[in-house]
Amino acid sequence: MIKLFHVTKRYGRDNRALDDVSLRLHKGEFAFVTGHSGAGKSTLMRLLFAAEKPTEGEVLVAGHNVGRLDRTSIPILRRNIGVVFQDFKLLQQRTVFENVAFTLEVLGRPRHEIRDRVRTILRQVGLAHKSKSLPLRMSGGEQQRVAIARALVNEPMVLLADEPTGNLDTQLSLEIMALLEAANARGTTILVATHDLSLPETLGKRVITLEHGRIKSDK
Amino acid sequence: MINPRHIRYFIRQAINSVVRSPLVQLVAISTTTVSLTVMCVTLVLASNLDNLADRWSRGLGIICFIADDVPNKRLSDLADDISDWAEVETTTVYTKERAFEDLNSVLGDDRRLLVGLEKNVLPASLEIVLAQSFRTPTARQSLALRLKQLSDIEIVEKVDFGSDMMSKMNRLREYLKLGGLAIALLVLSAVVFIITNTVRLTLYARKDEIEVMRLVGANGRFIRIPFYLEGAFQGAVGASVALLITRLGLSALPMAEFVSDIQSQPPKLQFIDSGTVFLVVVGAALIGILASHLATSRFLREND
Repeated sequence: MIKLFHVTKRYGRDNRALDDVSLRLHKGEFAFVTGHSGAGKSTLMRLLFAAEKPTEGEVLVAGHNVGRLDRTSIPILRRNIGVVFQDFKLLQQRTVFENVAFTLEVLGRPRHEIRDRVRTILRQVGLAHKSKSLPLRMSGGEQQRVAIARALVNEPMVLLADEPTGNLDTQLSLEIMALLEAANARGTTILVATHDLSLPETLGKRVITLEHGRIKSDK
Repeated sequence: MINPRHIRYFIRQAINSVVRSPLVQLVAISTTTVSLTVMCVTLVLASNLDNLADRWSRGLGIICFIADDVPNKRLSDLADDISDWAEVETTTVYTKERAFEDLNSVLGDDRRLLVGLEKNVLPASLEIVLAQSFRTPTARQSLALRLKQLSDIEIVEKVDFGSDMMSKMNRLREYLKLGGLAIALLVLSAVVFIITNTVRLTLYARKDEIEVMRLVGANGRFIRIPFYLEGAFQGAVGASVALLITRLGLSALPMAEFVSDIQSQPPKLQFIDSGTVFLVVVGAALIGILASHLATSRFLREND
């Protein structure tokens, strides 16, 4: 589902954010990318959802070669990927329901389908009762659950989460991980970038550790 | 192809954008209105001067006096033949009787002057109006020569100074067209500039929303179309208000009275025709779309 072959990403001449990284994630796999700040975790994630292109090497995601995607093809890739960020990236003037429905509106789904699927996913993340709330009036954990619901509502092949628990306490972090595990159980390939080493240890998942842009370990 | 299910979304987004930032919209529409008013006034002036020139040049036709022994039937056949010529727009027949009646009515109370006449001494005539594209001194002269070749006809040009005035009028119309074009270009550039900047303000205000749109797989067209609608709205409303101001201004203008004081048959100051009104509104909406396209293209490129 995700393949990287000798990927290097340079900013300017000397700044190598990723250096000759190769890895493979199979369909339905759940893995963590860890490392200190500046290790290259976010750069790796940005490459995977085509926010950046590799300087060298090949990045394949859900059958798309990111390096060769033109501007008009990037949206097609992103419709198969869900992305979750530390800062949630929710639309503050829209309700929870509207935020989640937005993904399906972009895809041009019929209204009744949007309604049914949003209700279902909000039930799954435990926010059915908050569908009319505005994100600003919700806790960080709840906002992250809205972001996860938005990322999962169109049943993507891959879910990328960049520090999804960065602003949350341990209990909330575990709740978020439980949601991701549930999505993984339904067949979604999941890659989570985190600097919190306790999370992968608790869940017993594959851990890819980056250091100075290189893979230090893959266990 | 646009997904029909997106159309509601596009319209809703455009309306929300207008409602959310009324001040920005007001500034954009009022500045667009000011610019387009300049263009509308120019259009009205050009259209009226063109009408005036047209009326005037129609008057510079040719009058053919007909020999007395020509019967009315022959006169009417002659008129029909001449009307078929390419350089002729209309031919009006004035029989001897009609000429006498006209003179009677023109003289009014002085018609008693005609009482002593033993017979109608006025000649029959044909009044020829030149077709639009033949209203030049040269064409008029060659038509006169052609008419002279017909038997039964004596040619007298209606006015002596016609040729010179006709040339001047034609030149004035040309200058007017060029000047109008220059003003239109300036105004349209100003409108593009205004709407581009307004849409850019809206784009920056909705930067987060656009980022999320891209993350969930919205393509460029999906992001752009609501802004196109917003630009079209600003252009169309600006043009409509500009047309209204020009229309009201025209009816309030003392010019109409001034003209009626100096001429027996004043040319009425007219507003532009409904076809041109439609073109101005649609044109402004298209300019709005163009401006929005420029703004969104630049924004999406900068924030890629």
